[in-house]
Amino acid sequence: MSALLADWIERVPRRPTRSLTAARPSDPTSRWVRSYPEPRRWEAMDRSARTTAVARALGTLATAALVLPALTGCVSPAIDDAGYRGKAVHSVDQMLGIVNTARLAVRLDLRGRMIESVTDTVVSDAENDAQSVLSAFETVQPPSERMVLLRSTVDTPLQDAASNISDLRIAERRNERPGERKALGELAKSVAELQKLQARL
Amino acid sequence: MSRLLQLTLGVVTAIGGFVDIGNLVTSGITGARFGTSLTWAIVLGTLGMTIFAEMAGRVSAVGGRAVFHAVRERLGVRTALVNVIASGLLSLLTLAAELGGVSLVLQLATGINYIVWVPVVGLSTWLVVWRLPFSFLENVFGLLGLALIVFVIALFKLPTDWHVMWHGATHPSVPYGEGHPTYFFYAISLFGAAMVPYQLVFFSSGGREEKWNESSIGEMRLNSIVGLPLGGLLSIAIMWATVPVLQPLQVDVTHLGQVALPVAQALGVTGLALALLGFFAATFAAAAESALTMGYMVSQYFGRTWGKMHRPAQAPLFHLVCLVSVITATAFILTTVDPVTVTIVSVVLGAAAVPLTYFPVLVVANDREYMGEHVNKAVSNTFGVVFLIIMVVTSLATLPLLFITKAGQ
Repeated sequence: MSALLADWIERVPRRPTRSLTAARPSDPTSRWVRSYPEPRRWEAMDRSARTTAVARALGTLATAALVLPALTGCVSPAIDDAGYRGKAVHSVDQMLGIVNTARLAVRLDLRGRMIESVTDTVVSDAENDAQSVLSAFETVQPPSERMVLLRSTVDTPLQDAASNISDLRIAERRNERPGERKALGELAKSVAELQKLQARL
Repeated sequence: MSRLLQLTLGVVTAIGGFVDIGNLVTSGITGARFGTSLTWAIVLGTLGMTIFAEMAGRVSAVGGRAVFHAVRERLGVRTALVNVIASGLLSLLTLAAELGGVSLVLQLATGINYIVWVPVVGLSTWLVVWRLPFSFLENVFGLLGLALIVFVIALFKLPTDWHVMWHGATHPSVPYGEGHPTYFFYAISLFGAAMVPYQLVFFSSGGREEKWNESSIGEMRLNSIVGLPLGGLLSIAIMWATVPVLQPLQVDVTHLGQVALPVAQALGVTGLALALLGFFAATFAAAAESALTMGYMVSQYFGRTWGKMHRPAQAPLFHLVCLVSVITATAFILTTVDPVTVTIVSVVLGAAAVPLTYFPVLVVANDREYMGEHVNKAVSNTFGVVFLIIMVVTSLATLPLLFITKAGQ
């Protein structure tokens, strides 16, 4: 592979390389870039040096490609009480933002300020996001009895909010104005509940 | 009128390069989450991009060298090979993000799932790159992209507290509840979105396509000094428009549709339609630009004939690379990977990769043998070196911040 690439590069037409000798002598940056060493030229290398050069370039990139995923895989899951509480706070914050997005889109739609397909996309995205937040929270194992209690306190409002967004999406897609208003009312309750929870946590 | 037309290359680069899916998303996220406190990152990125675009444009017009000619000449074959592979992968990621972005805009406009649109968008991008002239790309998308000005108008229609916004922008601080690492992660993402290497490659190669020469320096300067700050201004407007609407609701922006909500609130259906048109033009132009950039980079590195001015038979490597890039990026987005996540990763990794592309431009811009009387003056060098240092610091901080913040969570 390296030898093949080296052969390919060898066929690249070369331009004459000029030096930087004519740079402005009075300018310190010019002097600095002038002192930048001329790179080793391709034509000055023999075949094995060229193959090594290409192999090193590919090796550098391959190492980066291997090391980066390994580093990202080193992040440990939150398993202590503080970590679990942090996860709960984050889930409530996220759900609040998602509920507010869906409410804003439908309220604007009811006032005739939205394009139907945009409302539909925003509310559908909110529904998917709400389900993701819910399942991400529910799949984390509480590390202690106290955190089991916290889980039940947080889980119900999250479930209610996700369910209310689904109701809103169904009403919006069926173009039922009364259904949309009713779902908005339920979502307002969800917001109040999530805000209370946010303050408590 | 002809002066106005001359500006379009700068404008399309600004719209398609500055305000692409990366800026739409990062400006939306940061405005809703950090208010106006990260405005400085856009200003810094815009200033850096303007300085280096002017330099690269001058090297292109006077020295007759596009960026990857300079890279190969000044970094040597081996380092330049690492550079071309790394920049190529990055541009490919950007291309995938842009194709996903165009598809997301079409989903917003039609309600049809974005995955259905991905192959259509991929095919259209390739057709534009292959068949349509360069002037079409710059004129049509440059003008359509100006529809994003609705974000500026929306700012004046929304209940904007200018005093608070201005104070937030001029006295930047980390908002309550946010950590310093997250704040600087998003600062880097905004800086990276403004200074992505493909913009520089496209701007300088576009100059060669436009047959810039010494007499075109005035035009090139107008393009970079007017067009790029316009892109920066639009990015700031998008960020600021989300502040009075999404920040009080604690909305965490994760979808393109959320970015358009402030315009809908301020201007209703007409404003929203114009915002979607602007999103489409910006992301589609950026998709075409990043596909072309792939062709430019590879062909320039290998010293082959390149450019849209040449027919496929005259520049086979250039057109082949463009085609393969579009197919690969389309296939990547079809795996259902989230285009917004791809976008954030691409702008952040872009910030890590910029010095290798920008440094050779600074070196060649100082070569009197190439540049003659248009060699860098002390002012350009001072700014160039300052920004190069910022780029290196940013590049070193990027990966640790990416891991510490788990990509900004």
